[in-house]
Amino acid sequence: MYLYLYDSFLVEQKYRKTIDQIETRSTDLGINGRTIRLTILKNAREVIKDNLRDEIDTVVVIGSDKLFSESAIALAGTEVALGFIPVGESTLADILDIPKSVEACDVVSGRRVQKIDLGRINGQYFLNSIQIDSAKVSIKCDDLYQIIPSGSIKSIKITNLDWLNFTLSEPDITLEKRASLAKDGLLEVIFSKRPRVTFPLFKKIEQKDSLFYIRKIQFHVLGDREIMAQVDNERILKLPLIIEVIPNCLKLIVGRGHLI
Amino acid sequence: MAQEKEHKFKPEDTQTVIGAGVKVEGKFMAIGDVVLKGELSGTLDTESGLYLEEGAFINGDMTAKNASLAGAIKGNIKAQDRVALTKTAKIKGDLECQILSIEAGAIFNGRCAIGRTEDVIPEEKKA
Repeated sequence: MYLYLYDSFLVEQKYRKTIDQIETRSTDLGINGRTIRLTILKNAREVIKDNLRDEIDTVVVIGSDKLFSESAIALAGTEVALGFIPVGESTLADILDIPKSVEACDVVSGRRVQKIDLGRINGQYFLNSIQIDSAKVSIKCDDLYQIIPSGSIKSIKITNLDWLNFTLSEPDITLEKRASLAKDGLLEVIFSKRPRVTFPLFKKIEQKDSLFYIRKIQFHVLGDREIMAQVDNERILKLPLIIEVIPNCLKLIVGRGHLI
Repeated sequence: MAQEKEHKFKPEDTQTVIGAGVKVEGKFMAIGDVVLKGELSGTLDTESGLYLEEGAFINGDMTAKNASLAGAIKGNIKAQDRVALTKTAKIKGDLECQILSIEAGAIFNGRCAIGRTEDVIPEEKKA
């Protein structure tokens, strides 16, 4: 049985036509099910937990990346598959090769299921990435080695399911990593330098310095200043942090050309 | 349900890049290739290739399948297959591999064992 979660912003009149098309298409494909319209007061995690007691085998999120990430965390460790019908801006849709709005119904119906990893930060799950905008930290990886960033490093990003856009072009080796691999049992860690400003357009170009693959990483603050980490572009956590990967934790419905 | 095949872990999926902006200390273990442009103190162990860029430095022992070395190493090198020292390489330590190539200008100070030990002619057969 399918459970459809409608993002709270979809109550706006301008989305009426899109929602009608999605509902018609899902009925045509025989994948219609129970629908719940979320509001600011109705938390996705609580709604999913309440409904998992029934015979739900697929939860489909209609809306934003934010709601998709929240739903993924609520489904961690279950056998329920998570589908996505992106409406509006979405960076995850391209990684998962899911088209926007009504066309995504065909991907849900196709049910190409991948079991992916989730990350865990200080005991809480996350789906996408963690951003730390400071290098004044002590970093220990896999209980084996330390990474010591120099003053040129300005930010550190730990990703599970997100864009990497890391390229390296040397005479003897070429490397291009577009997105993180969310099925490899590892998290990617990217160290970036201060953005370079191009002339004459004054466009800022991000300079990525290092790329590591880890199972567990610990961050501690060096000095007295508080340092924050942004989790899934949403939650803010204060250091110290213990971040680890939890392999094969979530069933995801993806498109044929997914990058994970 | 179209459940896809379980993902097989491929070393080429995980190419580590240790840039000039960081220093690594301790026991660094990788499955895929390692591109080292910065500094590493401790040991480096990979089942794939090591690309040590010019200006990079390893202070400790390293093992890899293949190694292309243009930087400096103070420690022992053990490669399952091939080691290439370019003209900017500076090595102080022992080296063990199957195939070794040294470009003119490379500095190598240490003992060297090339090829399989079973292929070495025994002492008694030499006479």
